[in-house]
Amino acid sequence: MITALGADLHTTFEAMQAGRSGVRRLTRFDPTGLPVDIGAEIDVDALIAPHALDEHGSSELRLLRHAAEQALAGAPLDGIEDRGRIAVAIGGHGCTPGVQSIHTTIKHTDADGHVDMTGLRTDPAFDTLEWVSRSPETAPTLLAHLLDARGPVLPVVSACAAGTQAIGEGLRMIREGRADVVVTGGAEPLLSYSYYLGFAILGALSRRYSSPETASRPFDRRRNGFVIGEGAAVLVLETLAGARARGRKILGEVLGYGDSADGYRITDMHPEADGAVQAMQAAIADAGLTPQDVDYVNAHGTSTPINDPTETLACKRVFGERAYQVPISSNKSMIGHTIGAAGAIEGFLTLEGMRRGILLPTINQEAKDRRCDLDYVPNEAREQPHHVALSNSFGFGGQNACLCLGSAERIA
Amino acid sequence: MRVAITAAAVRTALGDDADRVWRAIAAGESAVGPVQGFDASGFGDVQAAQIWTEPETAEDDPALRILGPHGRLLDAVAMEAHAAAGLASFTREHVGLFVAMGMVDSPIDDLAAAALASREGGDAMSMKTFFAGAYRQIHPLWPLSMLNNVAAGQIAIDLDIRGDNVVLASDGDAGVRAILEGAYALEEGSARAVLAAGVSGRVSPAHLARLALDVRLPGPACFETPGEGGAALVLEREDEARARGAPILGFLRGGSTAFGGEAPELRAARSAGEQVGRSPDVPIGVQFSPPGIGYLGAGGPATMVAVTLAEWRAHPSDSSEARVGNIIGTGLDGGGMLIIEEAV
Repeated sequence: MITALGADLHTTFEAMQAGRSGVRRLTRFDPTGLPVDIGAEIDVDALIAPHALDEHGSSELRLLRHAAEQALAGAPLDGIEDRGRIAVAIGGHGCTPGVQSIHTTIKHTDADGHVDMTGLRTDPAFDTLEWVSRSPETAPTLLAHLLDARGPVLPVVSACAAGTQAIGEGLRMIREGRADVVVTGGAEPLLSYSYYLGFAILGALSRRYSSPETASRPFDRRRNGFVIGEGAAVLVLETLAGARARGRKILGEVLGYGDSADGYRITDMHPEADGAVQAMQAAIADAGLTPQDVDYVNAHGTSTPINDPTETLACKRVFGERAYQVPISSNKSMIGHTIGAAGAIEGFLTLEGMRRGILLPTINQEAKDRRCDLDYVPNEAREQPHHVALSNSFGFGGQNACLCLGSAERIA
Repeated sequence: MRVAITAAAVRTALGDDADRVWRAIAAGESAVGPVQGFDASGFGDVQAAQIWTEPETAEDDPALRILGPHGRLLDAVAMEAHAAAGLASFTREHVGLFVAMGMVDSPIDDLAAAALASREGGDAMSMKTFFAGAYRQIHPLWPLSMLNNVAAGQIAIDLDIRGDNVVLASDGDAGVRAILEGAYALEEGSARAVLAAGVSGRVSPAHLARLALDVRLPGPACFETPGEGGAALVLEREDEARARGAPILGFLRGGSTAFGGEAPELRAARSAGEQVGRSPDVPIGVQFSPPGIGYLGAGGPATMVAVTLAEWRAHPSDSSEARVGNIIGTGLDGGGMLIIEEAV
């Protein structure tokens, strides 16, 4: 795992347990003039060792490769003879054009906006490979190459739900015997100039904050948008029998998966949280459990005016009166919204929380919102054993996905 | 696996339904011609089978801004297939959507006005001027055009379907995978009916730049001629389709995808062949994208399933034995194969 709070799971978890925020004023480009200037940025060059692919690979691939190296250190694929039984399922959406690409393109654009492709293609500054490396299947494909994985490669591109859907589809592949091992997760290099600009234009980002660290405040009354974050997480899924036979350290269990479509509006969640409820109930049912069995919810918790009360409503509809006893927290309060990677990062943090018996907090809880009246583990981490958890991801566009996760202790 | 295909809808440069596309292909027609809509001379003598030949002016049309042309095409074939299969009678939570979406690029053209307004002397673009206000010339819905999943979300809205909603990117093997994932969702019971669809990317400067740098192994000529189009299939469990009296166009019998190494398509074929008890050495009949409609990428497999079923309908078999066909999809060093069977 890599996030704005650390280059691995341990560092990230410890920082979050201490309630630290990884949100800062941006350094990668100068956002002066934009209505927002913060993000949960990763210093990629400082944290990730160089690799031969860096020259032509995307920043998405660098994050993904880094996370995969950590995951595979604990679950190496060396002993698997039939490489066709290793699948790759990765959430993300590729990369947007970089500043250099836009600069070069504009240089060959006339006053009417027409691009002179002949001039562009012969310009030494034009990086043809960039057009390929940005494509959403490129990073998962290159990762599969690096791993010599020859089974199905699934680039899942469902925005904020992508990381969770990738793990869910990986679970299905394992269950149905389509793969013995699935390398799954998500990567998000969002703090590029054009993506950042896009979300700023859309008005989805937090614009009012007293300091960068306090901008992401899920469920708090003064929330006013999300904060973009970067990151990646990779998990290795295997059957329990396979993992035991290979002598793996078992981090936990993916018990169930549910997904749904809101079918409401592209930019808004369903006001009654129908899609979110359906995904959560499906994940619990897929696990063969009931809502009574769920100990904790890792919320989607974006810090937007609409998501947080709607997700609260979803929890109330799923858990009934017991919703007030089920702790819910949002990792995004500290590492921002990592979009395509969010489900993978948050799912992994959920497993680690169960392993340690720690509920990570939702920081920046200062002003109560009467519509958000559940236990969001405010501001401070909590020691509390928990063994079954949900991890929610609700996509911009209406895709909803939920994982039901179990602790390793529960398996034993 | 024996999943019934109960509807299919198609759009290609050769026509807007599977029967017409098949007749045109059989008659040797081709929609391939010089690239239109933008100056492609920088790419040499490139030709394409285009549906969208004119640049679109989307200023006042939110649908164009949100979906782009191929998103709207996907929406159109999904709606047509949904209606043809009579899925409106299904509980909306039981209808899933699995989509393979061709590359959704952030259209640099949309940034042009703002970027041009940021030029300061010569060709250089001033980021300071850009951020200081020129960026406001960018349409507020532009960011949505960068998201691959928005079209699938819009289909769920338009059809009022609430089941699985999964989007895969962005080449021919993803087209195979989307159909297979849909079939698996039926087997698992997470859906009772599935729309499995795929759509190509738009033939654009970005698309051609990508093809110009094609890192795939050399293949048939049709791979080098980009096409635009896509299709949607409706998949149901055979017993349920029969029980409700749905028209069965054919069956999906199996399929597989493979990646890397030598000839992933052949490995996928071997695996798929094993599922239906056929030796991989026995050719079953293969369908690539016919040259007349170009290479449709993520939209190819669903299109070729629909066109092959149309071919079988047009030429009924004399034998009581159902015909079986293979549909191949290729991607960035990956490949996949679907095995379909005639309904007799």
